[in-house]
Amino acid sequence: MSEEDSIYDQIEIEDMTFDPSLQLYHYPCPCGDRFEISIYDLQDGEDVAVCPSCSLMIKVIFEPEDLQENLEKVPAVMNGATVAVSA
Amino acid sequence: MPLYSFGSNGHSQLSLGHTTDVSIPTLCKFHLPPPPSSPPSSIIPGANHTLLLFPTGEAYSCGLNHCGQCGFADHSHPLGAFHRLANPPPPEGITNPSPESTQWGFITAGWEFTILATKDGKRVFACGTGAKGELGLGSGMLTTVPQLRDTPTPAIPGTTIHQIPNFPPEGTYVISLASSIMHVIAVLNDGSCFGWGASRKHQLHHPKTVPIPVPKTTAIPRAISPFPTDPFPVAKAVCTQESTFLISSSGDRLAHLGLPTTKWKVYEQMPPSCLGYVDIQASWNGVYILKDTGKIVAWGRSDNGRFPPKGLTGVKMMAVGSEHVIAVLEEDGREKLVAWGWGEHGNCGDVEGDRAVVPLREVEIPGGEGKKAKIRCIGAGCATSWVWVDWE
Repeated sequence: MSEEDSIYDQIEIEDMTFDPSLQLYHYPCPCGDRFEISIYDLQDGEDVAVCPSCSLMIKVIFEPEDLQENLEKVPAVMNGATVAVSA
Repeated sequence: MPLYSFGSNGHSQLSLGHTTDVSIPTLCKFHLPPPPSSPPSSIIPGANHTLLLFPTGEAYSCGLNHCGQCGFADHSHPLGAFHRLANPPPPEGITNPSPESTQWGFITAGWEFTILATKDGKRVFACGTGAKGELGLGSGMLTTVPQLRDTPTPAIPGTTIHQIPNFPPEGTYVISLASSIMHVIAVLNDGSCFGWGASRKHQLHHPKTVPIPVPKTTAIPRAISPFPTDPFPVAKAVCTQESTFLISSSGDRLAHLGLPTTKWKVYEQMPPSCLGYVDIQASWNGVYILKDTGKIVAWGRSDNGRFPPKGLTGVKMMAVGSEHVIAVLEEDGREKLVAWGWGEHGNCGDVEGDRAVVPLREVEIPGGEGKKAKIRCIGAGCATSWVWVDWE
């Protein structure tokens, strides 16, 4: 199955919630858990957010400048893309 | 109590005393005091919490309570079994309150919040959390945990449940509540309706009366803009994720609040009326009408087996979850429980093979020992399924 086939929905980044402490965007998954993607993955051009509890994924619709405001909210880190995201 | 659940259970939202998914209907647990022996009037699932409302005005909740969405003040752990919620206290300054003013009569649940109204419909309460204003308690109170020092109204003792102030307007009362995961609609006895929560996709506005700019969130109940032409008294509402549908009492009128171009064509495919409806419910991106002919009419997202099979008849009851449906069919005087749609968590039963697309199938309910199942109430949520069975 291609990735396109397993994309459950396409979601605009404005409809997602940004969690500055976890440095990720999330959105409800129909299983009750939520789709998550780190802001640094988005910065790197990744656009697929995954649910840790099931096989569903969403494609995030965004422009790089959409991230700017939230990148400023996260604590200064060394090199975003390589920093592990932890609770 | 003969309530069975199956499906997603990571936060004990199935009330089974554990946090493992099950695909076979399993008897739910109740904390004391026991619930009424007669079936609930509705089973109300949120994302990871569930409520039961009984005709006696008693309410029970279980599952995730980290932001007080189950209504209990102790939010340190999920509720592994259904616990009885406190009744609403008598209205302030009333010495002889009517029973209807101190019982629950309406409950709806969204992602991490619950909205409750008294049986007389004159007071509406909220608990849980909603960053888009889903509690209706104002932009200063988007969550009931942690407890703020100054709240618009005090919590009912021992709970996280706060009354929404100044609502409904004097002289009116709530006749129904509906919600998506992120917005809420209250229908009042005068045929008007109010909404709150997410509103970026025009969920709270008639397409012809959308203010500019559109408020992205709405944190207190606001009157839904009157219809610009040919208004009708609203009797019922259902909510998909990004749309609201308002329905007249007979079903002859149906109106859509939302964007003129919708995902999955939930507006574009809307039928002109829903005359003869018995029940109307919404999945995240679809609407399902159960007609008095025993057939289901559905529109919106239809891929991956979300719609009932063509020619399905004899439907007595349906419950629509996020991406699956369960229904009671009557064939030759025998009732059977069926399920279809997205069943990855076992919420369409113990399916062998692909659970992502489950065609309509019967779900056996264990127990009964040869007795006939009389299904009294069903419910469906975020990959969760519920059935109350009396064995006769």
